[in-house]
Amino acid sequence: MIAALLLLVCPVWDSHRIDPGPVSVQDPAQDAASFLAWHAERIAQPQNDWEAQAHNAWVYLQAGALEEARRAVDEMESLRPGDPDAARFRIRIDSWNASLRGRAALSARHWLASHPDQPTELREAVRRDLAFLEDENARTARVAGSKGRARFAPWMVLLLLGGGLRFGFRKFP
Amino acid sequence: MTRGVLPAAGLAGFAALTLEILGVHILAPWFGASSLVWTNQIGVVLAAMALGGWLGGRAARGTPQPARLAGRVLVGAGFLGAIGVFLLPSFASWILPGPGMLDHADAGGVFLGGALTSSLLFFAPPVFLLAMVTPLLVEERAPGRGPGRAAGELAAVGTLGSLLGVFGTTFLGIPLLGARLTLLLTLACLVCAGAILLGRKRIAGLGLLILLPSLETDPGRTANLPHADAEVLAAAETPHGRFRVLSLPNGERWLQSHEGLDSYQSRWREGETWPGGYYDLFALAPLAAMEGDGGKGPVRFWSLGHGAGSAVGPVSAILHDRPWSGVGVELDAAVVELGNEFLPLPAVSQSKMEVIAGGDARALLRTCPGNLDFVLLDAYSRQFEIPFHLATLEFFREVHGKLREGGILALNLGTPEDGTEKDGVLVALRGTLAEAFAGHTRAHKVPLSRNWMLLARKGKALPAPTWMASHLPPGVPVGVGTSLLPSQTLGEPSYRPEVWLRDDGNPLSLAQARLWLSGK
Repeated sequence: MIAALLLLVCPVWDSHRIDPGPVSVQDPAQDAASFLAWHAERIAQPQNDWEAQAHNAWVYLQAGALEEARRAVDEMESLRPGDPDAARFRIRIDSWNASLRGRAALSARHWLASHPDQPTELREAVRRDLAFLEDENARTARVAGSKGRARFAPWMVLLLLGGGLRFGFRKFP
Repeated sequence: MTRGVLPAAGLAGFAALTLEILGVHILAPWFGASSLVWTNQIGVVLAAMALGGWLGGRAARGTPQPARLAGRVLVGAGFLGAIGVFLLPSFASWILPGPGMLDHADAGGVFLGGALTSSLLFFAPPVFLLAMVTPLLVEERAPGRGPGRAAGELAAVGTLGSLLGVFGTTFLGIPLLGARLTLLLTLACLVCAGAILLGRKRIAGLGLLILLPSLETDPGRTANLPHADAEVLAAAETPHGRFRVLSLPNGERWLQSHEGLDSYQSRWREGETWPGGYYDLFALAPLAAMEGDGGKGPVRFWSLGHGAGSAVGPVSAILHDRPWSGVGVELDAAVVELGNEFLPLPAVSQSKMEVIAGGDARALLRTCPGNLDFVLLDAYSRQFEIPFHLATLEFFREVHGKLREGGILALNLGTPEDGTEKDGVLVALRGTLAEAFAGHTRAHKVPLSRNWMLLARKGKALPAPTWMASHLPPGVPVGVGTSLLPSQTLGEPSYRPEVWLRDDGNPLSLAQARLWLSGK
């Protein structure tokens, strides 16, 4: 059950929207009212076993409630240190934060190297996350190059124009 | 005395101002048209005029035929300007990282450096040459008229030309011909005027070459696409700016202004009530306004910064069993036309909405009789700047005066801030709203985005998020629910008069620019 749920976590395709991905009829994150009713139930009757926390992490992640998802993942890790599913969730959560994407890419590579025994579907999901993170890191590098060019270009042009001006003022003393 | 001296001076003045104003319009698809870009352009043009005037004066004394030199200078200005228009897209492609690469959060430094370099490289040289013209023509005209009279006449004609440049480009050139063609025609006229001063008509024919770039599709249409496979369905150019409608691979349509990138003025998907993003959270306004209102009477609202009406879907979904009517206010009529054609509202909603285009939101709100149930405010000029007159204590008090008791103001704010800052845009807007609405305010973070939805209520406390959660109808996107979680909301801010934004003291533009340049 949990493994099936873990497969359904939405793929991250950009930083601006949630792709709803496959949604089951039991999905509490299918609309705002059912999600909030589910959340209220979780608050009223907290369950601290690993399965419940994994389910919480999945639903909160679907809903874009990253802070709550992170708390649930922390709980998963405290209940099962080194838990591969918690590590996968953390990679996904970190993917939403531009400043944590470098760390998330490292974690994803580490996860793939240290969990060859995980089901193919889960490994594929992490590979997709890693591909997204690598694309994002490549994009960030290109943007950094762009920022560098934008910083030095005005100075180069000023030097060029200064030379032209000097020539003009020499021609007409 | 050489013929055509006065018209040449007038044309030089006309062209200098045209280059200054249209320069920003031409830069806008790549680098935006923010206050920072405008300030750069004006500063660079003024510096070029000062230096050109200085060198023109020296050249006038050092040349035996000042009118001929002025002719050469005009021809040079025309061709240099045209080369700039031709090279700008290639230069922008070199500075910018490519389609889908740059998002708004990272764009500040790139845009500022890119726009400054473009102004220096492509607009300063022709303006510099144009500023040389008047002193040369004074020297030409002085022997017959006397230096004082010659300078006065030429200054007057040049200023009249500049005046025509300001009004002509804004009210005739851009609407009728577009910025690019207007600029190229002006530059071609410079070459012709130079040819007349030189007495060489063949050069005037060469001026027609300048118009060649106008034969190709405006490269600004496809600048800064948010996705490599985005398709431009339509584009419009108005004195307020450039607009385009994009079709994205995921089936969405975006209405964008100026520099595009990953931000949109309106968002639409065929048959969808909920456009997604922060628009969905406008549903909170009718929801909060309905608490304690008896639940029966007709609902009236105004939407300031209406765009193509993306906020109407979420509002109508909440008001589905109530009679309602709305007024949308949009500054630019072209936006409304593009919206009607490419991002149309469902017929039912269209019949309930009256759209007023071409007027300022604050001025038009004053004409509203009042007693409104809620007001939606989503007014951004030049993508990241909230017009400061729509974010002051005085304006919020005017909105307060137009709401019924218990009425709601919902304001979209795009900022990377998380509310823990001591200063900044979020703190200033929350504080100002709280003062205008006696503390009845709350901020809801839009999940997985940089936006906040600020709510303020007249005369009553806002309903608790738990109340709002329990009154959401089925089918509302989950993101709206997420925004009601305690981790996504900020309550009433602390009382700090020093952060209030006022009509006569408003550091909002500066604060927004600082955030934008910080690249957060």
